[in-house]
Amino acid sequence: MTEIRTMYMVNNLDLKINRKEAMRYLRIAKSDSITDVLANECIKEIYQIASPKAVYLESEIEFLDDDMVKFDFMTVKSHSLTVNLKRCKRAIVFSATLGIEVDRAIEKYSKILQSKAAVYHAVGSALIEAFCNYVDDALTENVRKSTRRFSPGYGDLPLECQRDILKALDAERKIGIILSDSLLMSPSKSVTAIIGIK
Amino acid sequence: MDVLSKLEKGFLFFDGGMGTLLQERGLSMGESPEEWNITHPEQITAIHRAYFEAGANVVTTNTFGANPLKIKNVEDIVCRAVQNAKNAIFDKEQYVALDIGPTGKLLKPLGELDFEDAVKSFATTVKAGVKAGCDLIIIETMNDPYELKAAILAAKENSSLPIFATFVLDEKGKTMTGCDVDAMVALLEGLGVSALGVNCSLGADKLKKFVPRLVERASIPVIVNPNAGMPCVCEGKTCFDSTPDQFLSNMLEIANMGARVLGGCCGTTPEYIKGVVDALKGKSPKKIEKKHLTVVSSYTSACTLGEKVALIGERINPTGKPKLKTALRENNISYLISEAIGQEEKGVDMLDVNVGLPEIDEKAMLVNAVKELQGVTSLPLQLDSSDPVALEASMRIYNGKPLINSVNGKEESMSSIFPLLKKYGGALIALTIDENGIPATAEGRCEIARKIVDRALEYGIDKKDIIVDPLCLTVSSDGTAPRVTLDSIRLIKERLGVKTSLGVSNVSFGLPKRDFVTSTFFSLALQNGLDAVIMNPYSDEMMKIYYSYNALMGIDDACEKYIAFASNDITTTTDSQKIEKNMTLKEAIIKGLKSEAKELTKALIIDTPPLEIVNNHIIPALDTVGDNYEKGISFLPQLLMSAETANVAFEVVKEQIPSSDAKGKGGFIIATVKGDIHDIGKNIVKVILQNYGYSVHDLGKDVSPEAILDEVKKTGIRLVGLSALMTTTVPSMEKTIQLLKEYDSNIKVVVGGAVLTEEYAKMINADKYAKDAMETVRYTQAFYGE
Repeated sequence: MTEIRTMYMVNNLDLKINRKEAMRYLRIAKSDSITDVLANECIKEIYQIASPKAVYLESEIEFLDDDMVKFDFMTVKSHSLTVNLKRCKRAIVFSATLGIEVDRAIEKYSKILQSKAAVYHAVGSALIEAFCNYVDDALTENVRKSTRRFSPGYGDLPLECQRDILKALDAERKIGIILSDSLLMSPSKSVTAIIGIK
Repeated sequence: MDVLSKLEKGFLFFDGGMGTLLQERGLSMGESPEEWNITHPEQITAIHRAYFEAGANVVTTNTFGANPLKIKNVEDIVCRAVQNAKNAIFDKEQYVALDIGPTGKLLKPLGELDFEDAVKSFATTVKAGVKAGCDLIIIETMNDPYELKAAILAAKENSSLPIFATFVLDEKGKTMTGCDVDAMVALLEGLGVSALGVNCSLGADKLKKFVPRLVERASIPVIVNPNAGMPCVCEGKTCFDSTPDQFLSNMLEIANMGARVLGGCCGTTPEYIKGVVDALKGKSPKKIEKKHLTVVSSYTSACTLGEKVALIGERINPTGKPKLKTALRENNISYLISEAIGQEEKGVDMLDVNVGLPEIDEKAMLVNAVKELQGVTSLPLQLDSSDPVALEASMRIYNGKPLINSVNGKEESMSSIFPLLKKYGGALIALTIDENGIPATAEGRCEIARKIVDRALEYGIDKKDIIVDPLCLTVSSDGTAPRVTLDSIRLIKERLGVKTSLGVSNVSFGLPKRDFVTSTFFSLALQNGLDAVIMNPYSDEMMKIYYSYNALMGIDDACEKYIAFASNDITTTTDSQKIEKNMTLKEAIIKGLKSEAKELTKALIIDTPPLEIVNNHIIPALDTVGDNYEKGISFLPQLLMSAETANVAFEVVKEQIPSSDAKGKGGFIIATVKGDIHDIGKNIVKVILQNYGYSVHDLGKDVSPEAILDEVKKTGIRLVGLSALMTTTVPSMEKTIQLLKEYDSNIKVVVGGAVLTEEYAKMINADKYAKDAMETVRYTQAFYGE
């Protein structure tokens, strides 16, 4: 039986939000004072309300004909994934989230202050990325890994495999990630990813 | 003996995990455990039997995922599951609990599942379980109090069996939706479950940290069903407690803390349960103390009436508020939301919600207002209506344990309100008025209060949930009124031991400088023991009294809160630039300076016609910002800030425009299509379009093609904007466009959203692909021939 483990942040401040990246999500080349003020407020708030959690497992991988990649819990056809996982024998599959409170805050601001809601969205995206980097680093400390983590929807990896991954991770029970019929994850600042291990 | 009697007599032991045992017996990854009720019934019965033999009193049926939203043959599965469990019984005092787990879907507004659909789904499972003859119902592993409420209502409406409820806490002591123990206990006790507690997620060692709080707050038996302990990586260290011995020693501590119902969850086996049962043989659980806490709650937090008076913000009430009346008539929920958040920022503990206007559908409006408000504020709400129908509808969908305003001493009122409270839970404001009017003496008011409290008890409503409001008449028409009210508060508290509240503003009606009188009366009432006050948090005089009183009475540690209040700087935080002399309105809008814009507009409006302000000042400002945005000189936050600032200017102007001229330039229907619940892009477009004067009909998110067509038919608007975030929802867009074009080929559809491109837009037959809000505005301007 594949062992599923969870990880959570004790101190959110250990995750550094990359401001440049947050601005990139807003499609801003260079920030200005208005955006900075908003960004500061959002960053301060999100550190207080986010509860980053992740759940992960390790799976054997086998490369079959026709760009099929076989995990312990699913088999999926994807050329891009095959290339990404070249020379890997195992993979770490994880799902991470910032929790539903972040969605609530964005929802609240979208009703009263659009500008802040837009910035909050961007800051949230930057924070989940920071958390994913943290998880990635923590899980691959002493191993050689694939060049970058690969998520459902990248390249030709079908979005549908999101279902299989979340089910295998028991993500709903472990960290509260729910997948809608249209394959949207809630909470919205959530990511699933595959990291190949050489 | 029935299970509740057994529970009264001593410990009640639940079974442990089922999943791991099934996997040992061959359940493969991805196979649904519930199906085994039909394909491997003997295995299921064997597991149940093993738990009974280990000493468990209650086994939970293998129906965790058996709801119509997850599997098809619910009735069949549940029937077999209950049968399999009953087949394992070999002794009396062995009970079968129908096990109900979450639906796996998130409820609105953050998810797609409607509250009533959730209730219906749970009802299917409940009905099947009752039919099959289970002894009680356990609703477990719940993270969302709203979903938990839906399940409990389904259970109450379809059975009279005892209901047990357990929820999941994370390391920080909250559910994954952010709800804390106090709020959960308030909700569950209000709904009348027979036992409550926690299960899953954490092992016994981590979970035991939260048991004292549960026992401290609950007046009913506490359930603890921890995991065996999962391996968990925390700051690089692996920690877990998974041996039966460690589990046992933690469970014994938990029993000692006062928990009465004990069992296990994921990873536990009959061996774990046997350990606990044997160790506690012959021992008695701690006696359950009845708590006299008056509590209300929201979806995350509880407000307990106590030493410090609770402030109930009164601003969402149309009486004497023309702006709010207009907002209600126009269904302008944003206005209500900003009033709510403004009051929250002022530091109130609860919000009154009253939308009673004769010309609107109060039930629909109250339900809508509560749904919207509870999505943006975590303060408990006071549901305020004299219409029991509106009250019931709002109590049903309220996420938490509400405060209800109000019941009074009239028989008609009590007999219509008490049953609602019993069903949906809540605390109740009781007015001391009856068929004979308002008594002139404190004695008289106390008598009515007693009548209400006694009557409530007949319905099973404890006096801790009754808060008496002895009413406060206007001093300028009756000089003795305030004294009577103050005496009433004191008397009612002494004699009946209930909490009291007042709406103080009334006392000063008709007098100049009302605030002085109201706030002084407030301090007198506090001295007489007032527990809650309905007031205006924007009144400096009232807040002065509030903070000073708490400091003086030693309720404010080191006068900390008073000092913060007294040193408060009142400048707005979002304006970072200094006010320049001779700034024009246009400049203020471009810079996003809201208070400056408001002042400048007010100055302009004295000698400038309103429409001239709009066309010569506001619109040019927006055009400049829009231009800069398109050129890449300024960016989205500036665009939005300017739009919000323009809105502030508009509000001032609107007050001057006669209503017939206030019609928008043209209509625009906008929606996020079915399957998609992300709407930030849509909201941005809406704000910008509105600022350019267009009347935007926003249908919201996850909107079906049919609903969009209906709006077109209803309004006659021929310009529609559709938003979608994901490739999976583009087909919804395509279908919508098809439907609209079939109805009238002249309808123009503009599409946008992260996933869209020119290519996609052409593919689905859209008329325009707009890459951002400004492009949508330009297209709209062209559409209306400007």
